[in-house]
Amino acid sequence: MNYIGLKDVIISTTGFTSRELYEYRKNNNQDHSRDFLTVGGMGHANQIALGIALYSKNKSVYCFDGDGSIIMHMGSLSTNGNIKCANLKHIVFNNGSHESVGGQPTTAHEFNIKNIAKNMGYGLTLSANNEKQLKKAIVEIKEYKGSCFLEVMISNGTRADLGRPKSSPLENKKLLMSFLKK
Amino acid sequence: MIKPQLFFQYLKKEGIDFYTGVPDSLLKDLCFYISDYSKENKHIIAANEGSALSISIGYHVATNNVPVVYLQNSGLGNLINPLLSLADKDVYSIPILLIIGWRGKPGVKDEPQHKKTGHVMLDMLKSMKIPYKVISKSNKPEKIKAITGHLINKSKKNNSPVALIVERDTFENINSKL
Repeated sequence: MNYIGLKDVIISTTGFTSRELYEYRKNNNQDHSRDFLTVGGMGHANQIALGIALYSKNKSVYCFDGDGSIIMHMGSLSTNGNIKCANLKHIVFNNGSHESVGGQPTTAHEFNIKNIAKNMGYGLTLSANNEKQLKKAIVEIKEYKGSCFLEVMISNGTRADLGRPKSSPLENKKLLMSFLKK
Repeated sequence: MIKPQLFFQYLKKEGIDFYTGVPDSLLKDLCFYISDYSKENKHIIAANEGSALSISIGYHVATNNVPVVYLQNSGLGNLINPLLSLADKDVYSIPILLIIGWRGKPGVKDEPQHKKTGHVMLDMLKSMKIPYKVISKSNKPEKIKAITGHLINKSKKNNSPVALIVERDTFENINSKL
C-alpha cells in the first residue's frame, strides 16, 4: 500500500479484499474517499475500474481482484487487454480459493493466470511469489504506461476480527465521486 | 420508427454519449451508427451484458453522466447480478439507460430460445422495480424522443436504472461504414 500514491484510486473486489482495504485505511488514519469497495457483483470490479480509469486519466486506477472473480468473468480480461488503458493497474490476489465464503477451492492453481492476461493483450504481465518479488513488481507496474497485470500469490488466512465497512455503499460512491472530480 | 442518427443526436442533446453493451440484431442499425460515430472510448462492446453494466457504473462514477447499456433481452440473465447487487437504488444507486431488444414478443413469430424470455421480460423488469417503456415501429420519432426523455428524467431523478424496450424494426435501416 505504501507504493500506491495519494492521488491514486483503488477498486476492490467483493468480500474480504474490500473489508481488508477498508480496515487498512481506518488503521492508518486515511479516509475512504479513494476506494470503491465493490460490495457485490463478483467478477465485475475490474470493469468498474476500466470505466473509471478511462475517464480519470490524471489518476492511476488500481483494481484489487481475486482469482475466483477472474475465473467468473474472464471475458473482461480481453476487453481490458484490447483497450489498453494506460492508467489501469490490475492486481489479482491469487490464493486459489473462495476464501471470503469459506475457502473452497477455485481452479486458479491449475493454470497460469498471468499468461492468460498476456494473451488477452495486457502490455505488462507479472507474477510475484514473495515479498521481494512483490516490491519489485509494484514499482514496475506503477511506472509502466500501458495496461498492466500483476498476479500476487498469497496464502489463505484472514484475521478473525476483520471488520466490515461502517459506511454505506452510497456514501462510499459519493466520497469517491467527489475525489475523482479533483 | 426512427432513424438511428436522430435517436443518437437526441441522446447527445440529453447529455448521453457513452455506450457499452452486447450487440443485438433488433438494435443492429443503432449499433452500426454508434460504432461509426462515437468518439474513442465512448463505445465499448463488452464481453457480456453484466460486464457492460459494470463498465457503465465506472463511467458514471468518474463523470456523473448517464451511460447507455444496450443488449438483447436474452442477456438479461447476465445483467441481473450487477444490476441488482451494484447499480440498484439500495446499493450504489446508478442512473443508467438500458436499451433492450425485445426478441420473442408474444404474438410475434420468433425462435424457440427467445419465447420464454420474451414472454416474461416485462414481468422480470417489474419485479426488479426497473421503470420501463416500450417503443415500436408504429411510434413516430417525436413520440420515441418523448418516451425516451421521460425515462431519462426518471433515471436522473431517482438515480437508478431505467429500461427502453425496443420492438423489431423500430430503428430504420442504415448502411454502415463498417
